[in-house]
Amino acid sequence: MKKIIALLHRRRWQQTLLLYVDGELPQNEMAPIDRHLETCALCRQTQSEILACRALLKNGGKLPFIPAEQMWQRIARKTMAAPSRWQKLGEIFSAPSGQTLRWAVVAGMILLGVIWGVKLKEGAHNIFIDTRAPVAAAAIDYGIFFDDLRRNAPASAFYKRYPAQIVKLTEAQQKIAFPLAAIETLPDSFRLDCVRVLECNGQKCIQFTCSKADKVINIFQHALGQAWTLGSYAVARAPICNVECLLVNASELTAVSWQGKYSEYLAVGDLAPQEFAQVVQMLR
Amino acid sequence: MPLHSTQTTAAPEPDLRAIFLMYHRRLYKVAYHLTSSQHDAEDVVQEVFVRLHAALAQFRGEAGLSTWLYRMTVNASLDALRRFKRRQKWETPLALVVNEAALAPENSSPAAQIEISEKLQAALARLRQPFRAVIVLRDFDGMAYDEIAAVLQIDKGTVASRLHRAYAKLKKELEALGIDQNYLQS
Repeated sequence: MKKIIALLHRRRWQQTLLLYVDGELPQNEMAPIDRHLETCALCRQTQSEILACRALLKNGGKLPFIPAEQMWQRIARKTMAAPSRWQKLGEIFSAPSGQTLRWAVVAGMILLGVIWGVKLKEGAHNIFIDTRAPVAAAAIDYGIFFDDLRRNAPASAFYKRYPAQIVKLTEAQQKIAFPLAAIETLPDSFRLDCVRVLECNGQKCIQFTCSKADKVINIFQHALGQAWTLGSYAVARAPICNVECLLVNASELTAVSWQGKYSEYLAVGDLAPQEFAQVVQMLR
Repeated sequence: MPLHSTQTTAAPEPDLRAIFLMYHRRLYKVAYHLTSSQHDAEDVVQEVFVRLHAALAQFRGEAGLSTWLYRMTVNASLDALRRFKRRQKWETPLALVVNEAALAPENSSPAAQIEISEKLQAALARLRQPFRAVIVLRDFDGMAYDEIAAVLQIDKGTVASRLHRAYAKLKKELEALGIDQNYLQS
């Protein structure tokens, strides 16, 4: 009986040690284990075995090429079997009861064409006003930055085009005309490595380069309305922490963009969705 | 939003595409390490997203979506493993095509490196599925204990207990295959 109890105690203790190694124990329970490890060689041995096992698994977790686009095409084909909105609209038009609706739409389009023609003749070209801001010739193109990252090349082409000045975090606010992001609010696991001020077309933005574990994340902060582009990279929209975000994923490169209260952000890095959500949550 | 060149893929649903872009890599990684097969991992990820398409309306924002996706992936992977167990036995083990440079001692030969990677794969494959699942979620995906508990629908204590037993078994299997204590700690 004593042996069984001792075995249960030992098993419980080893689980606690595992929680300790993973940082999952509350702070007040960490200190006694620290002290115990200083004196107990057996537990230190167990701890080093856990860490060695971890390292072995971590190094062994290499992934092959992921055929993302092919997978998406197959998913799209399968999910397309359900009628889309356009197909439903087509069904309305082709139904006998849709005859009147069809003629009404055709008549409406002809009327619109006539009105437009008349207005053009009068010289009123602005019947449809393009409210979008014109594309600035020298808008920051993050497509260049992404290209460098995908090639595993230093972002030299990017910085050649957009001069960057490395500054201290305390000096960064003086360089820009919008409130600096509270980058220090990110969890301690994100380490701030470098702050740069980028210049483009007379306007400045900030680049924070952080690291988390072995991963690098770049967070760009712009003034609201500052022109920038993602080049030819495809984007999709989705809410993250109730913030409307643009997502870019080019094979292994992932980027998320969102609008905060005073500025816009673009975060680029190989982070997990939960980690991106943390960044969006803190810098919204 | 000053984005001037956006090529949004509309089909089949923009939201599904966005979620796919966010999660496919992580889910593929989990499926791949659980099934040990590229082909099965692709099938699993596709199956999960086809199911998500049908269930998309029930998710508001991010709440619960991540856990749901991981849970579906683990379940579908374990199903695939059961279904294709016989076939999988004859496939080349791929899940731990090991980063040999990082894994093997510097001076070991390529043949020795391949041997070690095969042994590591064999040891993992010998673990029971619940143990394999916790190791994959913890060590290959970096999930916290709470997240693993939510995905596998078990409590946090059980996660710790399974992980502890999984490491112990993995260590035994590795030792039985000739990867000894000294190597583990090198």
